[in-house]
Amino acid sequence: HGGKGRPKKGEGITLHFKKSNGEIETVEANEGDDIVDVSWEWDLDIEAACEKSIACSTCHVILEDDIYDKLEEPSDDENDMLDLAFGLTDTSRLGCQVKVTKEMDGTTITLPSATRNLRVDGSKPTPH
Amino acid sequence: SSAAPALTLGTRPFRVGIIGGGPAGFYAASRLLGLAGSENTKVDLFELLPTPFGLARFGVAPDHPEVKNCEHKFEETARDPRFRFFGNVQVGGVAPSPSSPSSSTSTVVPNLSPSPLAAQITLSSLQPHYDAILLTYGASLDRLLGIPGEDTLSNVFSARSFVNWYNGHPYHSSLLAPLINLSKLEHVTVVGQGNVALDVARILLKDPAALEEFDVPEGVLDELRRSKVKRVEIVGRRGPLQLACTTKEVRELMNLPGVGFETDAALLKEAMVQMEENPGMDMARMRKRALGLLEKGSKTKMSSAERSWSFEFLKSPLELLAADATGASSSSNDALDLLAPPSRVGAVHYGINELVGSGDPSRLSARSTGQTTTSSTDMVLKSVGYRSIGLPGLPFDERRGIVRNQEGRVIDEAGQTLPGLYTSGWLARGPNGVIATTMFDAFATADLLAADLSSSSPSEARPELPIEQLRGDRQVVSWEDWEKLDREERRRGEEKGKLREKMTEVKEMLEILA
Ligand SMILES: Cc1cc2nc3c(=O)[nH]c(=O)nc-3n(C[C@H](O)[C@H](O)[C@H](O)COP(=O)(O)OP(=O)(O)OC[C@H]3O[C@@H](n4cnc5c(N)ncnc54)[C@H](O)[C@@H]3O)c2cc1C
Ligand code: FES
Repeated sequence: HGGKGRPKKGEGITLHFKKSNGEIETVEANEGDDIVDVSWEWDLDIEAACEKSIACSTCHVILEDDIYDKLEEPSDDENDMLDLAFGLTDTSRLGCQVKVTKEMDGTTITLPSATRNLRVDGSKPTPH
Repeated sequence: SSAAPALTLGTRPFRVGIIGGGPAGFYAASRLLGLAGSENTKVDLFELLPTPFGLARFGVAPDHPEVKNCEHKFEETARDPRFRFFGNVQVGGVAPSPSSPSSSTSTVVPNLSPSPLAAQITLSSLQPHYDAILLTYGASLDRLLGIPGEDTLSNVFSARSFVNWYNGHPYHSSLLAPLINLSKLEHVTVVGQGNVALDVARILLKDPAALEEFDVPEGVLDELRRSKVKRVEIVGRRGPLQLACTTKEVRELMNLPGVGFETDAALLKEAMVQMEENPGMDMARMRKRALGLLEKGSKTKMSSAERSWSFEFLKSPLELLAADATGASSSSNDALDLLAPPSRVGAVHYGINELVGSGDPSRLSARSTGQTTTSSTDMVLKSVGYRSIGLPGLPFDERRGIVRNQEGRVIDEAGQTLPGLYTSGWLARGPNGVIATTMFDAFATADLLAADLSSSSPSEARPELPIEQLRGDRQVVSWEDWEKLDREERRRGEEKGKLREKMTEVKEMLEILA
């Protein structure tokens, strides 16, 4: 997947992505793109298995409290998928449903380390 | 916190063989080929069928095309020059021991016996050619109810067979089609309350016109169009708080036009109270939302519904009874039984359960109260789980129905690692979890496999597999071959205004490629 292109340097919205291995990657994003677009553009490794159809939960991201609070409530469909996300938190969202806004400038978006959860706590993440 | 050290394959010429081309196999392949230093890594993937994608093609419901979008990533991986697809190759299929609690021979199981069409290759003949072999061949058997009538009456199927039928699985389509007659029945009982059970119910209850645009085979659509099914009961041995399905699937059923829902209101209320009292229970958020949906009920009220479904709780089937009430299962004349067509199922005899245990209410278990009840039905679909099958020489946990493993490394009974052998997906973890679960598992197993490889001492490069010698007179399907089949299916679909028209016979696929 290619992304939707990058803003001119210094003109975009700065986002810090905390990857599952702890690394922080700082990128500039266009206002209005969603978090999966940003990931596709910058190769941030959000899987987005269903390609933004709200059918997979692999685009799960964790937002900072103040950013989360400013967003509209997730839809029922989004909540249905969040039910299945690994390491769900109170500020979890589906990246494909979150659009970049000016208010996000400088915020940190955490990509949950699902692999580690699956292995370490041995919890059964989903029912059959 | 400091970053974890990046995994690298150190540009060594590793060969990895993957057995099974479902999501686990493809996600593992994509991960391996994406790792640093994988320039000289080669991945060969062996798949029983001429078609790739496993349950993404043959499990995931046809009206969930967006779930199948994961196939695009698999296609990308498959086009990588370091990757090769060997379709129509069955690795080491043999019959399980007669004592193992698997399906009866009357149901169609790809792996119970060697396929007459697929090339046969044993695991041991693959091993010299690969530095590591990853087993991801999924779960191709059913768990059984283990009750009288299950094997002797007609109109009793596993949900797995039924799903394979409506999804056009070539090992099931022609065999099941003559056995399924929906024009002669109104009342279907689904045993089990997981997502597969809900998928099956939705396909039976949905207006067939709403399925036409997807990839349901024409023969199946015809059968659904003449269906007289009015009522689907989805039966579980525990209660509403222990439901195994997800909210999305419940919501879809609740929203079906013209379809009503009912359940035991008192039980539901009890579950709501328990939930309020135990906010810390396992998967509390999902359970709370699911109960909320049940309480709200269906968009269409029962009084105006053309078709309906229900959740039946606290019931365990004890026996399936014949429609003619003479009881096929108790007949003493075996010779006559063989000649007469099997009696049709007419009712289910249930034991009524209560919940016992303490602590987390979502983990309570069912215990028989000693009381029983009987409900009539016209068809029973058993949806109590898939299970896997072992390969000769491979440590297999018969009880759990999975390949013995620790975090994906195959281990023997004594817990010793079998070097170079790995497993992932439903074969490793058991038959539950959505594609996302399978994906994370496959990534983790691929990382582990790569870490083991890169820390191994350098050895001679493995010789390429001589597939031409091993395949005998059977045809092996390449990725380009599959792309040809894929184009043909889409072309046929386009003519009918649908996503694709699946080919449901291996023979036909091979003829097109010959
Ligand atoms: C009915 C149903 C509906 C589902 N719906 C959804 C859904 O809507 N959303 C979702 O996220 N998940 C869904 N799932 C779950 C999802 O399909 C699984 O998580 C996933 O497919 C498991 O992947 P796997 O690779 O382990 O196994 P599989 O997908 O089963 O792949 C195994 C592959 O191995 C091949 N194979 C078998 N034996 C051999 C052999 N001897 N040699 C070579 N190859 C062999 C098989 O043909 C198959 O292609 C559903 C599952 C089912 C059963
Ligand atoms: S990409 Fe699948 S839910 Fe967002």
